[in-house]
Amino acid sequence: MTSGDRLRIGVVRLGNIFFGISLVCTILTLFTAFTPFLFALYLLVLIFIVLITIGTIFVMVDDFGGFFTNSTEFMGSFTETALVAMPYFAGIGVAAAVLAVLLLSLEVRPKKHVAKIVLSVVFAVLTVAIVIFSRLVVQ
Amino acid sequence: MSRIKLSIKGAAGVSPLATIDDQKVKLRKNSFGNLEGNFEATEGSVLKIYTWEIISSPLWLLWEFVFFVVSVFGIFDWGRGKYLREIAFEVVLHPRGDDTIVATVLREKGEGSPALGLSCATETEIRENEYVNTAKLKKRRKIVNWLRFVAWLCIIGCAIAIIANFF
Repeated sequence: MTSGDRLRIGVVRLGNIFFGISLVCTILTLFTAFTPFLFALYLLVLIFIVLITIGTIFVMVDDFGGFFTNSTEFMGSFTETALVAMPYFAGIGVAAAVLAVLLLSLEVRPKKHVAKIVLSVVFAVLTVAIVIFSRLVVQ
Repeated sequence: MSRIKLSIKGAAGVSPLATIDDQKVKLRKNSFGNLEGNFEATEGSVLKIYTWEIISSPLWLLWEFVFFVVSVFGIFDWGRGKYLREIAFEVVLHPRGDDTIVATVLREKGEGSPALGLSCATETEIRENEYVNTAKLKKRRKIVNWLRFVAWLCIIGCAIAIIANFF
């Protein structure tokens, strides 16, 4: 076996690692992109609880107003942080996916990583689409 | 010059490489999961079938360090060490015409135990047929696992120190 082949076998394992990173980063990008919707859903649920109890929830539960305000503030700051973190997750995800495609295609052994290569491309495209979509929604 | 068809059975997860007179034989997986390839051989052609693990490289510690760092302390190193064995198989062929060579990967993986079973009409002269470096690879894997464990202890210690300092 030539030293080039040995190097490629090592590099392919790095490709596998980058595939894992791109998978996790895509999931995190998806999650952070949907955080504003989760926040809106959370608010809707709280408002629904208030409406369904015709406001008596404020009397029935001690300090419901405080809980309402505090939890809304926490969710708001969480959403803000998630939206700040999203481009970083997306950037790392796309870079890892591209590296995974490049490195996995260097395989010298008979096993071909077709599924992983295709999935990496899907992850990269999906991540870019999520970022563009979330930017459009924000605008 | 004889046309030889090489079929390697039971190679799932092993992914061996094959050469004929130091020229690579292109192997493809068929619908049954066996590896198949074609080559031309003459009297005295040497067929080699072998596998290689990154951990048997002279730079194995450096490689493992790179994998550990890039995979964020081993978190993303999912496909690590499923199969820790190396095959060394070398046979001299004396073909008298076109033939099919069927090589079956044997399950016994101990050091020095035969790696492949050969079945063909061609006259062969087996030079080498064994699992090699098994003990060495296991020892190295043990060292790597211990180093990872120590590294994780250090990481957790640092994290606790940083958190304690922060609060």
